[in-house]
Amino acid sequence: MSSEFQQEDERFIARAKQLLDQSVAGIDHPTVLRLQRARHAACAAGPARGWGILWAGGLAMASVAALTLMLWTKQPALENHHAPVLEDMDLVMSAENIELAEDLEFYHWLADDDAKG
Amino acid sequence: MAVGLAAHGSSDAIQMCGRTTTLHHTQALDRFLAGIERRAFRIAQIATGDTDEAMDLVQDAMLKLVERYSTRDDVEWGPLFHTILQHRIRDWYRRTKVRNRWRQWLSKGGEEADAQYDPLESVADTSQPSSEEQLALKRAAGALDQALRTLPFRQQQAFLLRAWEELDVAQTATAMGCSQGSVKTHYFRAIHTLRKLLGDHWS
Repeated sequence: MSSEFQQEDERFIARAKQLLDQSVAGIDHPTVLRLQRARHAACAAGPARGWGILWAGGLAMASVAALTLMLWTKQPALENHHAPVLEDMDLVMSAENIELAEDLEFYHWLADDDAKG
Repeated sequence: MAVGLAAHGSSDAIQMCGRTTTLHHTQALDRFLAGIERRAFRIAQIATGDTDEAMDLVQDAMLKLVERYSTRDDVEWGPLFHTILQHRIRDWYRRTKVRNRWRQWLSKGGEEADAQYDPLESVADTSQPSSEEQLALKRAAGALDQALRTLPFRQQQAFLLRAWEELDVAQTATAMGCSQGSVKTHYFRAIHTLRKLLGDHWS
């Protein structure tokens, strides 16, 4: 024991140690069994799979990032699709285009007529 | 073919060797925990004054050691185990403190309950028929337990880790999460408080 303590202190410590050791020997049987079960459970659990968890976590993070990136890059494209559709609707619904459609029918009729000779 | 078989054989041997190493490692860990579990339980029991709480704390510390530090060198297991256990005990103290504050605040009958509490109920029963010597030993052990419980937590832990577990000052400081100077102070005060509480006739 360290020299910082006097002899009386050392005797006291030795006595305390002896009594504490005896108290360990006096732990009741059910408690000893519970401690054994706890130890076996801990040993059976084994070390945590640190790298496995990291890999799984990394994979999940990468998947989420990829999905986010995909949705983010697709989003403007979808918006661009909406605009032409609306523009097309304007074109289709305008009076000029109805005339054009009628003209197209006329050109088809002409083509059929030419084919018949 | 022969090369393939040889390679196959050597990979089996490596696997077997790996399994054997793991088995030896698990056995070593089991031996270490078997050697420390009862003293750890007593340390936790003295700290909490409750068998079930002490059991939970020791179980948690065992699991944590195996999960996180079982791959470390076996000479490190002792200080690491005590560091984990001390963390768990400190957490338990904090939780209990908060819980007690809430209880005091919520229940008006707290004072009555305290008045009804008999501290003698928690003292070990020494009325079992035994020899005079055994009875004296039980009394001395009971007195030591009581005295240890009255110590401030830091002094109690410094005493148990230094005097009983025989950790050195640096290891005790790591386990307690304080400086080496604090460990020396707590240990010195613990010894003198205990001697004063137990009296000269005790030792």
